[in-house]
Amino acid sequence: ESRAAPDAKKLKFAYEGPRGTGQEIGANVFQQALEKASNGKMTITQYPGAQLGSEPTLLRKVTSGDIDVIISSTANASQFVPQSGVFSLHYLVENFGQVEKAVTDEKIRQLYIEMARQNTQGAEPLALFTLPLRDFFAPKTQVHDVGDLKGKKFRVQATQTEDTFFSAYGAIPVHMPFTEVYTSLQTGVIDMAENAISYYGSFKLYEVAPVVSLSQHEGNFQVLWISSRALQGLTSQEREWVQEAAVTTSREQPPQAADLVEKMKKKYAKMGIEFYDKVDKQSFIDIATPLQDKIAHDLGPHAVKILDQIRTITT
Amino acid sequence: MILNMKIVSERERELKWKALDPLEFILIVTCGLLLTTFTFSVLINVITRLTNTPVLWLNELIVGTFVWGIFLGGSVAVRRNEHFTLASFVENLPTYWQLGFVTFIQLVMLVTAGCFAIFGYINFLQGFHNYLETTGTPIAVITASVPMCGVLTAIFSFERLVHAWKNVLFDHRKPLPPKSETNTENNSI
Amino acid sequence: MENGSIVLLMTFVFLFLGFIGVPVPFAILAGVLLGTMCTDVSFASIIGQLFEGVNSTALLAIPFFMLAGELLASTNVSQRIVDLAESLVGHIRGGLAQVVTLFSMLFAGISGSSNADVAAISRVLLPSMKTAGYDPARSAALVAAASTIANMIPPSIMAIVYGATGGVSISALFIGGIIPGVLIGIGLMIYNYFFGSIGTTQKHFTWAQRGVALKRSLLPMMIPILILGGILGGFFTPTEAGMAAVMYTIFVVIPLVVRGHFKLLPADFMRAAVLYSLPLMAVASASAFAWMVAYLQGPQVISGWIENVAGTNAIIIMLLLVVALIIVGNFIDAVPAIVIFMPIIAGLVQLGDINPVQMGVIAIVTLAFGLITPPYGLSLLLAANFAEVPFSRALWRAIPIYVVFLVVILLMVIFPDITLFLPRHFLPQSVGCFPNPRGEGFICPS
Ligand code: NA
Ligand code: NA
Repeated sequence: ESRAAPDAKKLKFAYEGPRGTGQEIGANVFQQALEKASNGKMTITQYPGAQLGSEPTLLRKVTSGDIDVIISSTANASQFVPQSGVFSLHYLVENFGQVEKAVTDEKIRQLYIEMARQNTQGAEPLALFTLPLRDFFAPKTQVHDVGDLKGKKFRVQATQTEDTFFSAYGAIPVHMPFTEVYTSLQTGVIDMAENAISYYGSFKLYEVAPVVSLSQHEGNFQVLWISSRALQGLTSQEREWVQEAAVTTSREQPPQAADLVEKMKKKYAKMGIEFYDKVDKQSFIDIATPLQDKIAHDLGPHAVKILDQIRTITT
Repeated sequence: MILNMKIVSERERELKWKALDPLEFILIVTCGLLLTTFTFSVLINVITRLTNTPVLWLNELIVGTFVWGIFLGGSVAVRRNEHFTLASFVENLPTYWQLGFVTFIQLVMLVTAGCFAIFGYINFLQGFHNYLETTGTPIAVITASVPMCGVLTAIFSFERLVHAWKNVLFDHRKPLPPKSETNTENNSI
Repeated sequence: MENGSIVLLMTFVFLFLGFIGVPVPFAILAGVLLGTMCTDVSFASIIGQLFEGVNSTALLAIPFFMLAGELLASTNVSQRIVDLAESLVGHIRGGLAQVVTLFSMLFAGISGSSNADVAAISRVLLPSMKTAGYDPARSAALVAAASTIANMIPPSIMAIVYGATGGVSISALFIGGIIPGVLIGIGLMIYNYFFGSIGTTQKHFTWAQRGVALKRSLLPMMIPILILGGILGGFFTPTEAGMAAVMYTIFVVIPLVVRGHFKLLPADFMRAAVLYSLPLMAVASASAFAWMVAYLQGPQVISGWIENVAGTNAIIIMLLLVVALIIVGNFIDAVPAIVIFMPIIAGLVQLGDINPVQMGVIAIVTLAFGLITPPYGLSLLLAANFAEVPFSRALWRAIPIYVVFLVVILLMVIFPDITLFLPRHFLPQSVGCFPNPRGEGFICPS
């Protein structure tokens, strides 16, 4: 159902998530929106499933201009734009509605672009969108409140921000690539891990950790990046189409991603996976909120501005 | 000194300058030290994880020593002629054919190694804006191993090229040493 | 230039340079760089891929298994395993040929690559086979064939590279390779019995003598138990098991068996450091090759072809892949072949809904077979060198042995249990079951 003309201008669009994840939804929405806006004169070639590399690699290749458009998480983007780590603050958003508000907020988008321009050359962000909020999972442990994390070896994303939060909860943060999490949960190298339900599913982690506690402790913000080389190769008309498609992605991807989550949860629940939805989030929020201010301040002025703006629109 | 120069490969002496032996020696000792650091870092990593006191920056040390070991080891293997090769029919050719092939092979090596060096250096410079996640160290600290590998490989390829010509023009023998002199044991990998 | 033509150009340049003698990692990269010139991709990006290709935690296991093999060979502890094999099967028809086969199976539990095996067997057994009147070319062919078992029985460098690049559980690949490895070993022993060299059989050992041989080899033979037990028991990841094997060798085997060896340890580490860089340099450049192939949409094209021929029939897809990998294994080394072909294999595994562990083990055995096929058969080349016979004569003697490999591969395609029985039994999760969160046992959704 592609409406692209045979001689349409093609952008190379790569992402790490396999087919069937929120990243693919993002790519599809972007493709349809771009084909529609340009009336079939522009489209994309998709490279899903880390064919061209994992996110850190994709970020390096979009800044060098070898790939035109990529998706990265805000967390991975912090390897180039350290203040991007502000989006990893726990309980910055508390539910999916707040996430949608944040990614469609024009002021936040502008703040992010401005921050990225000061730190990177070769690529710039087009728009923000999202994967499901992140939850905890474990072979047996249900998390009722923050006390249940005490002394648990917890695989976290390798950033100081995550180390700070999980240490504050009493867990022992362990770093390893996400591809190792499966065996490590299986062998007891780690006790627990956390991610979006879509990643949990596509890495088949339910096989080793069938208890999911719906902590929703962290948003899973995604950035759409375009290389400067690709931008320079576009006419001003074509740039407008790309911008329009990016904004459409911010608006239309999140509800579809939310549907996907609900479908996956139903499917896994039917298989026998346990979803615990009575996590005492307040016990985590009490610890997290003071840390939010401190970490944002340490990250820098852009981070503080973004934190303030998100608080403004979510309260 | 416990270590001596014996670790420097004596194979294919006709293709090497004595003057570069210390470089091979330093490189191979460095590789040994990198592997030792790597081994014990993994050990400490496991122990500290088991005792619930993980040392998070160790992971970056482990990857760093691993990658540096590959690219330094890969360059010293060029001098020791230990890389996998697909065939070696060149050995049986008449002198001038052999010289032609050896020259072509080493020129390919020089160009490829040059690409390692030049474009690896460009990546190295970009690597200062790209940070490792736990410690915030620029990734350039690790990616510097690629251009280093290129420079060393170019040196060792040049050494082989010059000696092949020297053997033919001045010593009136074949560019490569006869096969019987090469020790298969060193080839076993 | 068409995408397909660029891939062909890269392949042709790599093979041409490889066959005139350019070291493999540089031959691959030279091909990739020429291909790159026909695209928009920058050289800096391709050179950057060298680092991306080895920047993978799963590959960290390789130095350890290289080091463990190097330490056992250099301390000559492997002789004790030879003695054990001789006491057990030396008297069977085929004599030393049976010893070679059993030793390879035992040593496979310690060493991760067949090249180390060829060296170890050749050094210890080839001279006595020559004295006993075995045809050296036939011996070389057998040594080469038996050495490939090292890639199937864990630990295995090929399994590590396959798991790391394909996102497949390395532990499951390790355990899944045991039965195929043993089957190849038994196949070779049957071959030796009926068609192999009829050299003199060795004397019959008494059970008491066998006990002595077992006792003497007990310390090194603990290594496979340490590795497998560690992984199956949930104590170690494969990388950590490799580290434990090295620590065990340094702090237990050497002090108890060859204490004098301590002063040689620095040299062992230095040699092993160079050795481990060789396959990993090949992985680095092969990953640049694979990246270009993915960039040029090679996997989609090939999946399309195979889908046209095979539809989604798993067995036909696997057979087509086996044929493709046999052809690939004729020309290039197994480790870069895995990295280069992984995007294609991954696509087809999805297409045919094939168990990734089964496909992985089949690919590993098929590529291990490539180590004894012409024109590029690394194990056969090395063994012929050691036996001092021309490659062509060793090759002639190897051809009947191909039957053993082809039969085992075919069985693996038809009967998934050959590869999946052990993982299903010991690592149920790796084949799609998960532990019941509230109670005992496993839930296996069908
Ligand atoms: Na093995
Ligand atoms: Na072959």
